[in-house]
Amino acid sequence: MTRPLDADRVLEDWLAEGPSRLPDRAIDGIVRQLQDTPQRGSRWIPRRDRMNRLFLSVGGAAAALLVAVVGFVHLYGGGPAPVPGESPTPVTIDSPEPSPEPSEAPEPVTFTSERHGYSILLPDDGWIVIERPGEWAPDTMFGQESPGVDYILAPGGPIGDYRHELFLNSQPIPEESTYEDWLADYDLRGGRTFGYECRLQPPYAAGTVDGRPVRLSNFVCGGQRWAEAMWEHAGRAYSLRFGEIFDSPIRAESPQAELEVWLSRITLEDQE
Amino acid sequence: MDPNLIDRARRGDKEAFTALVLGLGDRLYSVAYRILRDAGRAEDAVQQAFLTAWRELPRLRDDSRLEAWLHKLLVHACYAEIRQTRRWQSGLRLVTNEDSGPTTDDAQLSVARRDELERAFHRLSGEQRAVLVLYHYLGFSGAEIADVLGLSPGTVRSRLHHARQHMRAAIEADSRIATGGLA
Repeated sequence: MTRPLDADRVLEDWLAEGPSRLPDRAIDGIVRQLQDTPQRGSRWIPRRDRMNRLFLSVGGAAAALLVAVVGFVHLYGGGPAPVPGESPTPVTIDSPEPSPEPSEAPEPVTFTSERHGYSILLPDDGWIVIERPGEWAPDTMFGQESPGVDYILAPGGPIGDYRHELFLNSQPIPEESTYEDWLADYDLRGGRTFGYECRLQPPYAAGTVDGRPVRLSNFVCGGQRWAEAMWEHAGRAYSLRFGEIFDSPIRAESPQAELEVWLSRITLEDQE
Repeated sequence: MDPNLIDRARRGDKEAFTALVLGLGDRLYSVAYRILRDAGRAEDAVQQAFLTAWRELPRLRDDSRLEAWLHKLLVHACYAEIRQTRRWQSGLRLVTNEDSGPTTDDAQLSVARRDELERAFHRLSGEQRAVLVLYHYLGFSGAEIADVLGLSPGTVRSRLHHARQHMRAAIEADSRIATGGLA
C-alpha cells in the first residue's frame, strides 16, 4: 500500500524549512540607517490638487501625441548600464501612502523628488521608488544602479497589467553650455558607452512634459525594449527611461506610448 | 502590537521603532527568506521594508493595519530583489542552507525532492512566490492575501492556482522518479 501523495503537505514541509530569526547584523543595520533616514512629513500633494494636475497633464500628453514629429537616425545608446554581479546599493525605498481600509479602491499617489524637482502620479500604493544616493556625475552615462537615479518599480502599468520599470536622473547643465550642446554630448557619450549593443529604433519623436518639449527615442538593449525622454527644466537636463522587464510575460505594445503616458503624469517643480 | 509603541514611533521615537523591529523582524525575515530563498537578500528586503515603514509611518492612519502594511512593503521589497537578481545574474544563486533543517520528523524531504522544489520555485514569478508563501507558510486566506497585497481576490486565486500547479508538478515528477516511474 502506498499513501497518496499529499503535495500540499510536501510543499508546506519544504516551506517550513529554513531560518526564522532575523540576524542581529540586520537589526543593527536597520537601527544604524534610521539615524540618516528622516520620516516623511506630508509632502504628498492633496488629492484634489493631484487630480487637477493629472487632468491638465493628460491634456498636454494628448496634444503631444498629435504633434509627434519624425526625426533622424542617430547612432545612440542611452540604455541602462548594467554591471553584472554588482551588489545592490544600499537604498531607501520611498513607498507610497500606506493602505487605508481593505475595501477601498486603489488610490493614485504622488511621489515628489525634491532633489530632481518633479512629482509623478503613481497609479496606486503598490509602487516602490528607490532613490539611489549621490548625484549623476558630469560626462558619464547612468543605469538603474547609478548615483542619483530614481528607480521606479511597477507591479502594473497605467495602461495595462504588465510589469515594467522607470528610472529618472537629472544633472545641471554647465553654465558655459546650452541644453542642445549638452544633448549632443550626451548622445556621443551614449554611443561611446554602449555602441551597437543598444540598437536605436529610429526616428526621434517630439513630446511634452508639463508643457515643455521632450525628445523621445526608442532603443533595444539585449532584447529589452526601451524608450527615453530627454528634456530641460530650470537649468537641468533630464532623462526618463521606460523599460520592459526581461521576464515579464506580457509585453507593452509600444514602450514610447507607455512613456508618453508617464510623461503626462509628471509635474515639474519650480526650483528657483 | 502595542498601539503606544506605534504612536511613539510615528512621532519619531527611534527606540520605539526599534522595539517594533525586534517584535516583527523575525516574522518578516521568515517570509522574505521563503520568497527569495536567499538569506542575504532576505536581510536586504527586510531592511528596506523597515526603512520604508519608518519613513512613511507618520502617514499610517490605522494602527491595526501596521502588520498588513509591513507585509506589503516586504513583498514589494522582495520583488525588487528578484528583479535585481534576474537582471544581473544569468544563473540561479546557490541557496545556502546553513541555518536550515527539517522541522518535522515524519516529513524528511529527500535531497532530490528539495532540489526539485527549489528549481520549480525559482521558476515562479515573484508575484506567484509571494502568494504561495503567504498562503502555505503564513496560512493567510485568499481574502487576506488580496487585502495585504492590494490585489483582487480573482488575481490571488489565479496566481495561487498556477503556482500550486507548478509546484505540484515538480513534486509529482520527483515522486515518479522515486518510485521508478510507476507513480
